[in-house]
Amino acid sequence: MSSIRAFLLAGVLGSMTAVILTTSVVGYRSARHEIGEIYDANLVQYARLLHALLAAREPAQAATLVRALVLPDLGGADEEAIEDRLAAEPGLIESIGHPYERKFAFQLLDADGGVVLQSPQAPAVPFAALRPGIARAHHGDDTWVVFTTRDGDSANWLQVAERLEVREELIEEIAVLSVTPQLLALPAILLLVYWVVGRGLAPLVKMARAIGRRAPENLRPMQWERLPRELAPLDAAVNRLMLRLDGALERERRFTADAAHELKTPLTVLKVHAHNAVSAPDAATRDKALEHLLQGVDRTAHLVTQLLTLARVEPAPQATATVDLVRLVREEVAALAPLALQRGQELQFASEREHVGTAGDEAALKGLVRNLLDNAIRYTPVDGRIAVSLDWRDARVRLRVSDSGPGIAEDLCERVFERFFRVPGNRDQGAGLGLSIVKRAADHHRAAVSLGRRRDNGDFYVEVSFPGEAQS
Amino acid sequence: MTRRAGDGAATILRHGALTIDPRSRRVTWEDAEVALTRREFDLLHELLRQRGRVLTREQLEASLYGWQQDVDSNAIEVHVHKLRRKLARDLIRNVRGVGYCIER
Repeated sequence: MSSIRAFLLAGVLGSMTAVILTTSVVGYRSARHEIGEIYDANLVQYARLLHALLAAREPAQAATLVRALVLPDLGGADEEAIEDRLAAEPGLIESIGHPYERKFAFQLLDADGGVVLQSPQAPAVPFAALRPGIARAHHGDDTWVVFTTRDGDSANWLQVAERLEVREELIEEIAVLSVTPQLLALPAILLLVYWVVGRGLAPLVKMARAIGRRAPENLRPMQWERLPRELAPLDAAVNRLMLRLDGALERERRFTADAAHELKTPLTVLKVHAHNAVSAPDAATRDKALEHLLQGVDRTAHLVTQLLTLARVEPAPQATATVDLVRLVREEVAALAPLALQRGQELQFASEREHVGTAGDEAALKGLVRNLLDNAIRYTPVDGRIAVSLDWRDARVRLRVSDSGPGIAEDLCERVFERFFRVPGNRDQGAGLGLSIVKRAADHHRAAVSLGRRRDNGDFYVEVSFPGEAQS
Repeated sequence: MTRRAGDGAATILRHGALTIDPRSRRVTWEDAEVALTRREFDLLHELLRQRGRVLTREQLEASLYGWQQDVDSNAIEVHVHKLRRKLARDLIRNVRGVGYCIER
């Protein structure tokens, strides 16, 4: 499982470390360069000064000058101890000098490189090759930065040198000083980011807890005080799901209640007929009661069948496969045709094409066609006409069942799709589920159901228009 | 629920003035023998066997010709037309666009 907190922590710390390292490297390089320039300039100036001094004196006096440059014995104490002493006694620098003095040296050389004069710290050979300019040279364990210049009159060389570690020390100091605080700050930043991320994620945790604590039957939309904007889509999605679930549950509850209620009446009627048969005074009355009983059983069986069909269609179509609508409709018409023939009705089916593939649930589609046809046969008078047709308009497949029956009054057109709704005054004992089944099955197939009257003969029709995927 | 009329193919079937004997393939109408072709007899037998049901053209073709591919698209129509002429006009009902049936 991935963690937002871990991701944020790793991201923030990773990028911060990268930034610190980059700025440190860049800072170190530029500090090194600038410090190098300053020290080089000092070295050159020192050389010029010395050069001027040496040139102004006689060679004998020069030796005096060099003697003056001999440094006092520091008694073998290390640099740090001397620095501490100097810091404690400011006057001491007059007598013992500064320990870093030992890190500077010079040499006066003749044209062949023979040493004429030199400071005590210098080696007995030239510091570096006799070429004007700045160079590096190694003597013993030390590295020196050497400035070489030439006296134009005497053809002597002057070399002034400084130990490299003098500037290296400063550069290192600067680098360490600039990077250390930032690195030390990292753990603090880590803690801060950890805390801030925790605070930032708190509403999410709160939300999860609130959802987790909900009772399963509580499907009301959630209410929040101060919901962060980023969580609003999640909140909206959850609330939409709740609303849908609530709707589905409500339908389920109503369906069960309605079904129970609808079954109660026919069962009471059956009981009355059975009772009549038992208490009939003669055979003729009993036979009549039994006949009523049989009819009642048929009607109840029909109601149960319709309820089962609706229950199957209700939640969601089972399997989706390619269904040949022409074949399916023709078979359903054939199955119900004998009923129409019995009633002397003229029934016909017409399709513009021989085959049409539609993605759908075969059982639901059969329920749809059967109920349309069943309604037509049921409500069309004897000798009436019923026409079933399949045609294609604007990339949609239209299934139309029309009949010369009374149809449905316009003000009832909305209500006929409700469950258990029966057209008032209707003598027939239908279950009131036919068009609900049609509507539900159509919805599952993204098909639209409409009612109307034909222009040619004024017959009432129910039309189901499927999104086309027509293959002729 | 469909209850098939006459289960065995060998049973003598009667329907009004019509009698057909699948074993000898004899057909009589008002006691007079009527001569039918093989296909006509098969078609009449199938419709009578499933009296009361509407059989689609595809179903009838399958029962007469099996899985033969090149069946003339109006072969069934032609056979029905001839049967009506040889027997009675209203014996075989047509449900337009769907199929044929012999009513109970």
